[in-house]
Amino acid sequence: METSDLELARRAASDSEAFGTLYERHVRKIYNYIYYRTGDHHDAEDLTARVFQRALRHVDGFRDMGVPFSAWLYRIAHNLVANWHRDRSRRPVVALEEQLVLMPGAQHPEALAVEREQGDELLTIIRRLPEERQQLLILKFSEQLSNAEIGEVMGRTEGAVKSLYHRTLSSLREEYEKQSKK
Amino acid sequence: MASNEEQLERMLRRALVPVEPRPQFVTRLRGRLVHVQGSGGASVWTLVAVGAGLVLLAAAWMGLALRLILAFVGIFSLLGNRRSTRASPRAAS
Repeated sequence: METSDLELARRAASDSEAFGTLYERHVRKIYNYIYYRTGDHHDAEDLTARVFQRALRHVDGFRDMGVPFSAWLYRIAHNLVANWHRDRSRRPVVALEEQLVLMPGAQHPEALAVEREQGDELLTIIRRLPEERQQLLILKFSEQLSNAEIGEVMGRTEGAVKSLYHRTLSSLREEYEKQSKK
Repeated sequence: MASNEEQLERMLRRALVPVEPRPQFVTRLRGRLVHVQGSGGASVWTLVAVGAGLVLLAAAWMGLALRLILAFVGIFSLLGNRRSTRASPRAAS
């Protein structure tokens, strides 16, 4: 039987293998989340490293308060990304070339070009949204978390996440339509 | 409206595809984290060993100093006794 995150987190302060297992389980998700928040692979690597270094320093303080270990990591990542944006005060550029290689389907070059353009526009608009809305969209579509899981990460109820999601979709649609008319 | 929403969700799914970190990055970071934790543990043990060593050294020095003091006291008292035994027959005669 697989050892739970909670059990591993308890042992992680003194057992490097336990922390290593936690790292293996979550590093890809944290990297993916940070990548979409920063738009750059190098920054995503740097911030992912910082998330796990901070987690390692504070793992002995992690307590089971009904919040999963992954939510704790997402919160660390969220804070570090917020600091990163504050420090840089710039709008990041998305490395779409690299990302589109991973896109499933879209075999035809024309379809690929259209998808590329749409994806480009959409990501630009997403990056203009308030931080919490960006976080919600990444967790929902890229990390494929449920509303309840997103609520645990964001410290909100499932209902609040649902309502924020609908508000985000409608503002995204408005922005997208505005952008398309230009 | 609903179809618009579905279409937008489809586009979001396509735009926000999961991305993977480089395998070298994942492996290197794991090694670094485990090394940091390992070296942190070793430094605690080093501190304990150094502390214990200092305590033992201090105890050894104190023991040596005490023995030297006792030895000097012994020598002086022996010398004092010899003087007094030499002086006492003359005084008696």
